[in-house]
Amino acid sequence: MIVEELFESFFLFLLLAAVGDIIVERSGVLNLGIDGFITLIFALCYSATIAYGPIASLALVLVAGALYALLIALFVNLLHSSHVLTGLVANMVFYGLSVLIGYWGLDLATERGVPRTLLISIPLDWRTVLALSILAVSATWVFLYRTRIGTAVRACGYNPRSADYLGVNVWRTRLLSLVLGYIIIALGGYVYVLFYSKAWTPYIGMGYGFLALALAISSLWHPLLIALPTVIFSYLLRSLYVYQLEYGISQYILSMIPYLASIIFITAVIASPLGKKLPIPKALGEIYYKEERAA
Amino acid sequence: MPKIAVVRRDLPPTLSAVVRLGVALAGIGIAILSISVILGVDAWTVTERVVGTFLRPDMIRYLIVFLPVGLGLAVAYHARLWNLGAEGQIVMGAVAAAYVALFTPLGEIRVVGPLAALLAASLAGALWALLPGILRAYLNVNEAITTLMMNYVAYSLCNYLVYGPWRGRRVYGYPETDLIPDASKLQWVHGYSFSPWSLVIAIAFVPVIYLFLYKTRIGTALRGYGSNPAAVELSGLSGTRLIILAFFVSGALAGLVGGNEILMYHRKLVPGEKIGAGMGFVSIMVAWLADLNPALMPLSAYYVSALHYLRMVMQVGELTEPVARFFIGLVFMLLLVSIFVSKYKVVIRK
Repeated sequence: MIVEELFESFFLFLLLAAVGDIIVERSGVLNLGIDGFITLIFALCYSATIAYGPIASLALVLVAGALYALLIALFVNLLHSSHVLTGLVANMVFYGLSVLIGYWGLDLATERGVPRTLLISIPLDWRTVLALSILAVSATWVFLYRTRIGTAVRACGYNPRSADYLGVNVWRTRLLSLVLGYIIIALGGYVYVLFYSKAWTPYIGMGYGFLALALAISSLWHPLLIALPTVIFSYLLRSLYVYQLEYGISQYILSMIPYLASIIFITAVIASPLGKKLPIPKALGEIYYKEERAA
Repeated sequence: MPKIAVVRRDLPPTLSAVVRLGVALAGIGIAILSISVILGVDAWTVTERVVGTFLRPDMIRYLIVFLPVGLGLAVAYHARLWNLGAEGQIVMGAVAAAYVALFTPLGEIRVVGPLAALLAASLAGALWALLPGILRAYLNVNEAITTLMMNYVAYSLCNYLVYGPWRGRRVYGYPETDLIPDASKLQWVHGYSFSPWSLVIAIAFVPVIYLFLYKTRIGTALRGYGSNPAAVELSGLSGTRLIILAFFVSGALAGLVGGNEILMYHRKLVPGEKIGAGMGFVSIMVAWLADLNPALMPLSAYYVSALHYLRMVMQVGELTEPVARFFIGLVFMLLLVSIFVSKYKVVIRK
């Protein structure tokens, strides 16, 4: 059935990552560090599940999300570092660290004589996935558009100086949305490892973070618009190997499709009338310097 | 509760240099520590090897990559244009150079062959950078994300060629092309794996880019475009053209390096991940380590090349590569802290 094909664990992972990214970027933080974090969280979740079981692993993964958010906040808020450079550098560090953590889990599995593939027997049927994704999307929408804090978050992403004059603490708001966003992204990583891949190989997940970022841009950072491109993309990504088998298209040609498609998608959305109407986080990537009074 | 405030300051150039030097030294410390702790090599051996890598000419092979790419990226970053696609531009340069050397008659001709291949390489890199550049200039599409995406497309394109139509007949099933003709190879300095010509070209770009950025009208406009686009447009220069030029120059230099990697080092086309090897991303930080100043770029490229070469020297198992990523990343994290220290200070008011 088609709904089962569309709403499965990979879709849920991509949706959670994109929704988390929307919360972060709505506050004006350009979130390139998401790719290193997703690579890290896959490894951490895999190894922690082998070492301590699925429940402790979930707790650890969520704590890791909050800590990563604190690290990024330290650089972009307090140290006034460029958002792009912070993200790139964090990626470098955590790509490297992820491999070390993943090998720890693999070695542990061998040591204890348990299989390297995770044996999780909890089913995740399409109804659960659909319910969870509707919950994630609508909760994010309510948070961003119907609460005081959410309005402050969007104000920080649109014009941090004006937000500050209106009494919003820009640093604190950005920190809050980083923590919230990364906890949701971490949850997505947990879903991916336990319900989709169930295994780990070095650098698995590299590039997914940037795809989530592209999805967020192509929905103009709006949580209600994100569902459609995510459904299309997750279906496209998973069915690539079918095209390879059925039509004999080279897998290397197929693997560039998601990236090319996202460039085309972003361009089309930004150039469309919708792109000019919806308010987007204009100050994305802007370093907020508080003491500056002139200009 | 005491109030923490961050205020701007300008550290005198000498002090600023001292801070950077401190970061560089601390970086070496981090490298030694992470190798000896994580990989279990004793610290004294590592220290010896580290000192060795900084003195051995082998690392020039990496300097030839980092210096020109860093210079090119500095041009884009001065205009606050985030070209993060050097990795893909290097790969596309490599593809173009391999095409000229392998599949055109030019490849068999001495001097002309390599020159044509390098020209094609820089053109390919420039064109690859141009697509995100045009999208940014005309439609205001965020260039950071499009250039990142183009990296993955370049990897796949190159892999398609080496696994498919270009796979060599004498490679025993390895995903690579045949060796390029001897006439196209850039000869190595005896005992090392770099060519003196490539080094000369790389260094020649230092004054060229310096003069371009600081002594020409367009270069000055590019530097101003970053902080005040409106002022530049009022001075009569087209912002659209400046954006396209910045992407073209940075892409051309990255492409040139990619072509040189084929003619000088690999001597055949290999999968994209092996050509770029993350060096395009490291080059971004090379540019910022030099504070985007072309005159300081050789120093910063030298330092990063040595750290990058260190992992080749260590070669302890499959963890060497991730550990190298880890400590090079930590060094750059320190760099971000040092940029903060030289630009701002923290004041605590009671």
